[in-house]
Amino acid sequence: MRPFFTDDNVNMKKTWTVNRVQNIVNEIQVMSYEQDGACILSIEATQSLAEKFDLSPLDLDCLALEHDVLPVRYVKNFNALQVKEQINLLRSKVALVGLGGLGGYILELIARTGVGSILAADGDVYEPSNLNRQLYCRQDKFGQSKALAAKERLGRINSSIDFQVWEKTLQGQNYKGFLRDRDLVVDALGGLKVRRELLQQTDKLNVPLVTGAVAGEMGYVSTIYPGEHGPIDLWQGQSGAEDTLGCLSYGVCLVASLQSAEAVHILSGRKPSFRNKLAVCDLKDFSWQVFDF
Amino acid sequence: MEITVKCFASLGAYQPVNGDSFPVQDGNTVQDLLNRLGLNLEEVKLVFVNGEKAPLTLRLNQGDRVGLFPAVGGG
Repeated sequence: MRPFFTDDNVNMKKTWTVNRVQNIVNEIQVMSYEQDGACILSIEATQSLAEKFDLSPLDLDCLALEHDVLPVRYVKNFNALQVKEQINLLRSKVALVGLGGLGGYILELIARTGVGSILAADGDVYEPSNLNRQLYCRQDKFGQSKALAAKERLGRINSSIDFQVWEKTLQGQNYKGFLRDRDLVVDALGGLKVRRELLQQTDKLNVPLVTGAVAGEMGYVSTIYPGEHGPIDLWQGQSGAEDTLGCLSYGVCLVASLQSAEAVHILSGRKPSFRNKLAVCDLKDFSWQVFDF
Repeated sequence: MEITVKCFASLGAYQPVNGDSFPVQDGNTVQDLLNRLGLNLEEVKLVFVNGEKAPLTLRLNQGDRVGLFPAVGGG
């Protein structure tokens, strides 16, 4: 599908005639319906108009929003998200590293909210112990690739965004291709060494990172910009607290929610809340504290 | 003097019962506190005092709030 009105395609944008854009906008408006004072575009309308004009549904939805027509799948995002923020979100590109406990929930939340381009990597397959917390793990899926399970499921949740998976465990040189052109990286890894490596790569490749981790019923979130260290001290040594405490579903879900909210804020144009901070939630005693690095 | 101390995650095993009002001596540092609690320095990866990252050498004051973290990397 041809991209439409992105920074990468300024020249292509110039070749689209004003007439063609106006035609598409007219058809969007004709196909939209009114509800509670707003103009809404159905999922079917997005799909058929995208096909008709040889655009991605993503580009079609952006064009609709730019002309005050709301794609129905995002209607309940407003007005907590502004229309302009939704457009920013749809135009943004996220790299999600890991599709297990944190990754499953993060993918679900950011995809439903409308992050336009998500590239996710996971080289693992499901096993029974994943059942306690990994959203996409099912009893009939042991041995199945987490990346492929996510691809299959996401297609039925939001077919209007661009979602791609790498069925591999990222390391070394892989990272360069994976992180290229991404606006933000979300750390959904399990383990210490792999997180150190991810931070090294995001730092080198100059992309901000929203990290989070869980042990037992507690967890934390932090946002690390290039040149900063964030909670790197918590990733030292051979074994983390999760090796003795496990990871409870609601801890994973809560940390994933925090990471998702922070990612959505940043991508939609707001400031990060957890830069140089460690936001700690503990569901053992229901406490919340934000520490400063 | 008294401080508040919370041992997070797997350090919870070392959480003193009187953690909300834990007695320490004048001049005690964070490291002294860890020793008092029986913590292995290797296990404590991050220390916060009054909401800010702090070194082991920091001297504690009355009412200080101390948070102690092990490595945490689960997902």
